[in-house]
Amino acid sequence: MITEFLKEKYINSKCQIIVIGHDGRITETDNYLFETNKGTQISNLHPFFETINHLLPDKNKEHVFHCVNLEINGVKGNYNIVFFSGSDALNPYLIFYDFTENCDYLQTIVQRRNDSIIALETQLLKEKQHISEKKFKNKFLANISHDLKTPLGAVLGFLEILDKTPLNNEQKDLINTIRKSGNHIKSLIDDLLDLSKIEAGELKINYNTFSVYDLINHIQKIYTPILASKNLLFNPVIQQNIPPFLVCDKTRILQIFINLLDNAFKFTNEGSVSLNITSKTINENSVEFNFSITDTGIGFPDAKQNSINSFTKFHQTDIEGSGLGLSIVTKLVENMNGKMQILSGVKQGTCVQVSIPMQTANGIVENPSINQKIPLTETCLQILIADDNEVNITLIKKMLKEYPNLTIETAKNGVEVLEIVKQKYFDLILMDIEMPEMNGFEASRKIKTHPNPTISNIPIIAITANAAEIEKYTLAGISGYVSKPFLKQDLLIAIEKIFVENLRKMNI
Amino acid sequence: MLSLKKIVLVGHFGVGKSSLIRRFVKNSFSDDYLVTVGVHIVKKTVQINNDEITLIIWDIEGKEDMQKLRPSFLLGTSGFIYVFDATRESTYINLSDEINYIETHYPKINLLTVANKIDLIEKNTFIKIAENNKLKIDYFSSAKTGENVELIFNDLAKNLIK
Ligand SMILES: Nc1nc2c(ncn2[C@@H]2O[C@H](COP(=O)(O)OP(=O)(O)O)[C@@H](O)[C@H]2O)c(=O)[nH]1
Ligand SMILES: [Mg+2]
Repeated sequence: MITEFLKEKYINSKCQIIVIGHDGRITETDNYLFETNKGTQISNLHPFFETINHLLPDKNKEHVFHCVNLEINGVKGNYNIVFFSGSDALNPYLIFYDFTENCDYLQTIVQRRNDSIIALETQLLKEKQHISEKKFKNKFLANISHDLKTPLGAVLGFLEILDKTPLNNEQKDLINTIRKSGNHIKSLIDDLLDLSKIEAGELKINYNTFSVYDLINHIQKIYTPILASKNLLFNPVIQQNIPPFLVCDKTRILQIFINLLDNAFKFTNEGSVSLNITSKTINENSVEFNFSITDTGIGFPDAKQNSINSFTKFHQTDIEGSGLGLSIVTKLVENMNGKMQILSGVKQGTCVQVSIPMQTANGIVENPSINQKIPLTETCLQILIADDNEVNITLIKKMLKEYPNLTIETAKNGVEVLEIVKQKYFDLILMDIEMPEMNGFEASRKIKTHPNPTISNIPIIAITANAAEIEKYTLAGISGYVSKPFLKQDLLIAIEKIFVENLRKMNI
Repeated sequence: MLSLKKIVLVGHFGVGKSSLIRRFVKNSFSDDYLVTVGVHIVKKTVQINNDEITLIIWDIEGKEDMQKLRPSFLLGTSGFIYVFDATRESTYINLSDEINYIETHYPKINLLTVANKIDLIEKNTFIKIAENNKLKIDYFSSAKTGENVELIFNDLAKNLIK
């Protein structure tokens, strides 16, 4: 008896049987799951049964339909349905098994699974699209830049030839203007190529040692003509304790400075452009190389203030002619793991702050075992440094400041050198090659061929950026050289070499 | 003449089968995705010239593989609409195999292929993708905008009474 009861409670309540005539009308129904009436045409209950009606003529067939969602007389459910198409002895019937609960449960699981798969696929697609768009853009840029460069090269080339023909002053002026514009286009194209390379991830940062002081010298030289024509002040200030040598991509660092300074000079008509370089120690071997370029120019429109992201695309700022320089700088700084910030307001000037982590080359310089090898401390020496650049002189003085026995004098050019050596005795001259009035090479030649042996015997160390010319210097009698940029240790070793050689000569 | 035809929408999950049917039958759309478990059946009568055809439309759960479909779902079917999602490669990467399978196992059943969600992708971009993947596409559609939805069901109905 208990089985009857349990069957009634757990099985019958999950099941409904409907018997139909061959015409599709209901003849019997137990209405356990949903209400229907005898005589009702089943196809009126739900469109599902239209399909059933179709199957009625084919006798003695049983079909099972799984997981069919039906709403019959207001009752929604999900059923497995067994359909028998009837035989001579038996009317067609339908048995409904209620799986609504299972399906609801299944629904939540499948929903979660499908949602996450779709989300993942959509994400992948977006990334793929983004990459292919970028590729297309970069390829397009690279191609168009190349295509532009060829005819531009011809224009500039023929312009040079034209310039060498007999021309009056007006024509020469015109040629200069054309040349300027041509060069401007060329630098824009170079920028485009650069940017597409950076975007395509093809730009490599080549780490090498560079001298902060040399960098500033170089920059000063570049902007001297602009300063003269614009009547602007330009004050580069280098913090005293900055490591003189740092490891980074020299060329790209210079590019960053030039791009930012170009803009500063371009948009500043009066006042000043200042450059401030400082460093902050991160740890023993690395520093944060910080610099800021502040101008008193027209500034950026408000909307662009402080927002680096607006430069990361190929956007130019709203200022006409600001070019792609800033976009390139942003990308370069990013690639060097640095940070950049722009503070600006219309007519309030602009301040660009850049901070790039760099290794110091100091670790090697201050290696005591190397210092020990150099017995400069033992003798008193008079040294003359000839360099037109204050910053360089400061740098060399700094490198030698541990040796109180060294007396240092300075000269600004070859003419001064020749004057000084006539008046005083020197043990060594550190001679910069590129100097105004009389360059280092010429001065060295004059010293070495001097009739007074006290003068002609002074050893000279050339300081040069052009290591390829060393042979020429040697022929002129120069004893040694250090090539820019140099480390403290390079300088000390070059000096030591000369004195060791002198000692040897004296022993003979 | 009134006739009744069963048609089934097949294809992967989430490609927009339920949405296309909803657009066709109720002229509405929702951005929310509700997984179809089992099968939903709706009907709509269309007028083709002087004939009325009632389409019994079976909206079945998405399956990546035609062979995995429950055969009872396909019983008595006159037409298939194979739907894939133009924005999801996984839904059309095996399209030709699937179509081959349908054409060999159900040679008498009419078949249309539909690239849905065309509102989300630039048509020319997708045409290129389709060419690269040698996809046989009969219609582009969007359940969201309604683009081509009516046309697809009507054209299928036309084919069914030919
Ligand atoms: N944008 C857009 N979304 C669609 C379109 N068709 C369907 N969807 C969305 O895609 C998801 C899956 O749709 P659904 O009809 O449930 O797919 P099914 O699993 O094939 O039945 C839902 O979020 C829909 O809103 C369409 O044409 N355009
Ligand atoms: Mg669905």
